[in-house]
Amino acid sequence: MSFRTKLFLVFLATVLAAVSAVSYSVTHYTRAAYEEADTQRTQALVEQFQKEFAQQRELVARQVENVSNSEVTLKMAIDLQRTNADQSLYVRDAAGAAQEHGLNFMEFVIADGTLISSAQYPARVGYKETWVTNGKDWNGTEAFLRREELPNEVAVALTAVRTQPNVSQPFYAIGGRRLDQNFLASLVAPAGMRTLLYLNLNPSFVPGDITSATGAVDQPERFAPIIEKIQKQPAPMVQTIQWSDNAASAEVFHVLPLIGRNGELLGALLVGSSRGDLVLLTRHIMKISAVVAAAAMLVGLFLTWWVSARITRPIEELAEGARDVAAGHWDTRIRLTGRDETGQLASAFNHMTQTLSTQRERLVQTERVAAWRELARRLAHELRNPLFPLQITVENMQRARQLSHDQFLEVFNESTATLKAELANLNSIVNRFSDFSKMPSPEFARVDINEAIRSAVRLFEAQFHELGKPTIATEYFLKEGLPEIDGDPELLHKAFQNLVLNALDAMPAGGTLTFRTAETQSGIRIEVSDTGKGLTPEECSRLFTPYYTTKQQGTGLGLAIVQSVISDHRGTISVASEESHSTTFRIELPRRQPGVTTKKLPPTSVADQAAPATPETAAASD
Amino acid sequence: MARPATLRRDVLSSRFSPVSDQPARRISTLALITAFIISLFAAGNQLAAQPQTLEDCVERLARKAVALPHERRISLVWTNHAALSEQRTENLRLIFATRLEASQVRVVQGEFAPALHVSIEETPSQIVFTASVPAEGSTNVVIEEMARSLVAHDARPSNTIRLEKELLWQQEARLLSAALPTPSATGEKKMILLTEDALVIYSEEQQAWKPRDTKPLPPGSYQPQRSARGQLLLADESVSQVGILLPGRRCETDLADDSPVACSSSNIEMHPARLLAAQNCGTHTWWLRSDGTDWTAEDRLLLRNSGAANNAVPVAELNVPGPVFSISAGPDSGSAIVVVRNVVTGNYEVYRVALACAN
Amino acid sequence: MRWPAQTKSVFYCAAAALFIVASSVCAARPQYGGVLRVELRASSITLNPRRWKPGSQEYAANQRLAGLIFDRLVSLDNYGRFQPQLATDWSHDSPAKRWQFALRQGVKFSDGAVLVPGDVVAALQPLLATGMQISATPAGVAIQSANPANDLLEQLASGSYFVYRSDERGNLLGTGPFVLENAASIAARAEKSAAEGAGPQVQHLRFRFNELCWSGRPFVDAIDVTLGVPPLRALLDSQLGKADLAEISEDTARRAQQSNVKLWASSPLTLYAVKFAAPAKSANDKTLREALSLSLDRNAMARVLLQKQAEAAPSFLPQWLSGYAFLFDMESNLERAKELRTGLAPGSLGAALPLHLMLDGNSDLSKLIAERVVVNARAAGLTLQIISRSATRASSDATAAKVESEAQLVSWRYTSLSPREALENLAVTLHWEIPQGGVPADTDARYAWEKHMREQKNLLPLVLVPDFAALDSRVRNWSPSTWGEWHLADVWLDQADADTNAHDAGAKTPAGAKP
Repeated sequence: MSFRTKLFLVFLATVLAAVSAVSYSVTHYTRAAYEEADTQRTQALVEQFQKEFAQQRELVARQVENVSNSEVTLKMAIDLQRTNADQSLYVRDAAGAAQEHGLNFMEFVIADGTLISSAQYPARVGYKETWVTNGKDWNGTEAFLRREELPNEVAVALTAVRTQPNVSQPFYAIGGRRLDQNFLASLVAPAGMRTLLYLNLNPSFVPGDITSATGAVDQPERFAPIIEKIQKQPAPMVQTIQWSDNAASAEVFHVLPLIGRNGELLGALLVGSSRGDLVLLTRHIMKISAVVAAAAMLVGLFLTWWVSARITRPIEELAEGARDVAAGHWDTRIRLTGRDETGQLASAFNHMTQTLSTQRERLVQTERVAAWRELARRLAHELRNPLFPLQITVENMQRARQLSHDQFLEVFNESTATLKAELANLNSIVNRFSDFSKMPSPEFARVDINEAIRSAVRLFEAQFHELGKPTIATEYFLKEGLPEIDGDPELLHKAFQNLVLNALDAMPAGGTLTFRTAETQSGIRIEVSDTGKGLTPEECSRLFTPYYTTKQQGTGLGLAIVQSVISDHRGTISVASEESHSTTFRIELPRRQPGVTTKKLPPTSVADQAAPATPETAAASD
Repeated sequence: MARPATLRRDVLSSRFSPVSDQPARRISTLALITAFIISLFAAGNQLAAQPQTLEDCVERLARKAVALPHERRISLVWTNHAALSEQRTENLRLIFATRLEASQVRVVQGEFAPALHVSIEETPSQIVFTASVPAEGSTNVVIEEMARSLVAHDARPSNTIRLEKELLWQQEARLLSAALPTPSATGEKKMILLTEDALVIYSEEQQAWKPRDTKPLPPGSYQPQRSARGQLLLADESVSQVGILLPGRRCETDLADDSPVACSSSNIEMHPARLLAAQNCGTHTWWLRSDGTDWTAEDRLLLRNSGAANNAVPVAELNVPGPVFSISAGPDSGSAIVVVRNVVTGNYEVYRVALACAN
Repeated sequence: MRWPAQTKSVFYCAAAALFIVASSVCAARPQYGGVLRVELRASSITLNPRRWKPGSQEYAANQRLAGLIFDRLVSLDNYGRFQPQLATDWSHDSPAKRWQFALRQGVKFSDGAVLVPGDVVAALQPLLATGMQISATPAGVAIQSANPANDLLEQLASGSYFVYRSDERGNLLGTGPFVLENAASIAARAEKSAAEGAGPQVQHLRFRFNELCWSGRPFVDAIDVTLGVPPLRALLDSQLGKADLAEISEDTARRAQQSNVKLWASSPLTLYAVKFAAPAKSANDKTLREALSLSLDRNAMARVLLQKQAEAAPSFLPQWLSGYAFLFDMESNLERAKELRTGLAPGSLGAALPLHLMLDGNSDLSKLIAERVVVNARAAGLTLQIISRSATRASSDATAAKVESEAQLVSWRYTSLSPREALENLAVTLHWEIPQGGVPADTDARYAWEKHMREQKNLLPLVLVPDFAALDSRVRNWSPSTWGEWHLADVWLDQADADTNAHDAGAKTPAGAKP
């Protein structure tokens, strides 16, 4: 993940966290405040309902009292106290009284409990209402809830009982208002609130017994848990009903039990307060928060991109520059922006690359000089060897002029032979130098390394078991199925030859020459190990320097050629040695060469086509 | 057994009254005489064609009764709910009892014995005799009936009730109410008149009413401007105690002394009406009320059964020559004192209206 | 204390004289003219007696109006005397199987056609019971009955035994004191509605006097009849002077009593009873019916609930009709009813299952009586449930609509003067098993049969309710029969009173109260 991306993400996360925190806080505290206000409002309204309910009680009591104290009732009471009074005269009077005084229920009962007249259930006239006569002084009691039997149903009524004060025997007026939707309609509910009434006339919940001020209630069965709960425990409580998946449909109900005179639960008044406003407000806040957050994020995105661009571009330029430098473009320069740290970094980078360039040039020059010196030294050394015998021979020849013709001729023949040999040696030396300078560019083809190694070693088999010389054992640990690589078969062959020669030279007393191949992630690995005298660390460090040799003979180019070949194959070569024990050359070659279209060579071994190795050409000195 | 209480009332009410309404009542005596003559002819013809009489019917009933299992000793309970006279009913009872005796059934009186109930009922076309015959713990019923049209005319309803009026007093000055207390032990008759401002007591001397005393009403304008009204009430238990109902007031005084009229506020409403009962008209009571009219027209007094509705068809009616202002107590339970303002003369007249039963 | 005897006789003479004087001064002579305004509850009527359904309330209205335009052979007055109408004389043989009626001569139908015996035969034959044959004789008609018909006169003097004929257009013509105007269109509508199975929907009828009537023209010029007037409205119209004669109900009768309206009540004519849908099949059924019957307090129902506007009905026929209804026990015994209730099978009707009591129509009275039955039954521990037929029909609940009732509150209007015929009509309608030869004519046998049917408890009589009507004060000579026939031909209108009422459209001042 790039620094810019990281920076962007960090900044984004910061923005998100900040916005979320703010939104949450606003939402939470706003909701809390609203809920608090809503609760208070609901509570106030519930209290208002309770007060209104109490007022209704008083109203009913007053109405019944008016009926009881009216002239008509007095006359009725007086008349009915007479012996053999005609009770049938007044059978319909209760209906008139109820209508006149705005009551739903009205009954008149005489002292022995006989029902004289009933507005709501005339068919019961003549029957006894013992609960009235069993009662105490009714004139002081407030209205109470009562279960009212009607011809076709049972109702709940807010009932008051009063006795006519001006007659000697009690004459009861029982009046009431029915608790139904009309009653609910008389309780004023503000917007967003509603009242429901459940009449508890059956042991279990009956959906049809719940009503609102406007009539039937939607989904009445949803109230079953509330009602069942209040039936078990008739006490005020608060319950919430979620009407649908939409949270705004939630409604909080304050449930007030309606208790009858004998403590029985006759109904429940449910005051419902919609939570829709709260939910909508919350959603609104959330929406705004989301919009703000999105806007903030967009802004943040832009800012992040811009800031990160401002921050990371110099770094990227630096990184690009570093890459260029690593690729060898030591003269890479970074565009300077500002005087801040990145500007300073760019400046330092530029300074570094400039210094590196300068030093590289100097180093190159120095190395060039050193290389020329080394070459000159090596050349001088190499040339001196053959030149000295030449000189001796020429001197011998000069001296031999003094000798006899036959002695001069003998010396002359020997000296010319020697001159020829040394000139051939000189020629060889020059050829090697010429070869080294004329190392061709590789021509890549698919090469089976295992086979290349075998073919290179095969050339030396005779030498390994030459009579009179120590035996060189060879071991092969070549990975079967080693994939073919892109390589120049001739150059690789030459390189392997040089390694073998080098190993031979390192084991004058014989030993074991081990070849290993393995597949790596990017290519193959070749290890050539000998059990020779080993190398010191200094020798290891200079091993691949042209003309560096630890041998008394040799040009010191063998390993340099190996290195050159390996380098041309974009591989690496290293050496690990244990002094007096072993030396291992490790070569790593890539499988493929970039931009190269290789051709698969025929199975004929390239090595077979190579010139047989001769001590002269195959001499490798390290 | 339960007896429908309305039946007796039905019998005596106008439900079986003559076809014509008011005119017939007003000429009921003449109508009776006429009907008697006509029915004699009709009954005679019919009797010649029909073999049945009430007596025959009762005979057959008795024969049926004794044909069933019966007690040997019974007490006879005889109930008449038909429009038959008591004498006729009694005759029939004797016939029945005689038949039983002839059949070895002893009819006892004043002793405890199983009761044999005989009831005489009336339907639109029949007289129905039912006998419930007791027999060893059970009761059998036999029924006989005969056409009402065959019943002789002397069994017609003879206790037709009517009203009769007698003019007792008249004067020009406004009269609110009048009452006639029950005559005293010495036979002295008094008449009390209530005027707008006083109570005037008259006594009868030589068949003429002479003023005896005047008790002024306490001063105070409590009369409605255009319609003064008042009502005299007589106490049942005291001949001298008099009550006066005025608008918003109730007053009392004692005629036996000089005590003034004492008044107090009251909300009792005045509804002139009188409950009448006359022994010779049976044991029923009737309400006497006026039909109600304005001051320009004659009025009617209506007599209705006490148990009947205020507006049921009246049993009897009596026209009076003007609006009725007051109906108060008469000297006996069968009469009332009515104050009327004659629309022709403008005088206030006091009538005694009484029940009359032609029996 | 009474007046002295001699004064009493003088008084009576004076009273008689006064009566004579008063009579001559105050006697109101009948006045001719005016239109009698009548309001009836029935919303539809049919004047064709063949279409009248015995026992129905509509029968009474039909009969009342038919009596305006048709005559019977005989009538019965309030003294129990059969009066000649279209028949002037009658006789029968000894077993009363053959009756001879002499027809009045010179009687004409309203179209001028002379009444002939054939008309009587054509009118009455379809109405006579099975086993009765009517035939024309030179002087009149003869009715031959297979069984003794001792109550033939009672039958002919009541019910549907009107003499009428149809003209070529199908209009019904009679010989009565009135003629129905726009009869053609009404008849056409009546026929159409009858063909459709409903009575004709007529709202307003006008009867004008028939100048060809053999009994003389009636006093009033015409009778305006408005149909379908609810009792409360009828009372109001009566109070306001908009109606002279208005048919009202028992609860409005009570209101009429409290206002200043003159009220007329007939003998109890309509029986309310609980009818069971099927005869009792099991002992449990019988126990249930017995318990229910014993739980009913008929006296309280009549006296208290119906405010004495009704009579308790111990049996089917009212006392005024049979003369022996009082012999039946009212059968009210709550304790015994409770005992029987405990003997009911646990899951049976009336115990765990409610006995459904069907209520026909919307009559307040029916509803009140049914509710009282439920309350009475509940006191004995029986469970009854009222089902209203109109509510069931209107109910969208298919289950409710399919509830079958085991019992029904029915009303039966008596229209026949013959108790035998009345009982037989009831029995036929209720599909009772009638003895061969019909309901016994002999009173003992009839009583025994009625008692037997009463004990079957397929029909539990409750109360008998009279007819009620409110009368305006200008209506004179109101002399209906106790069995509900109105005799409007004898009514006349006091025009002076009518003029007064025309100015005073409000309620009259109460009796005794003066302005």
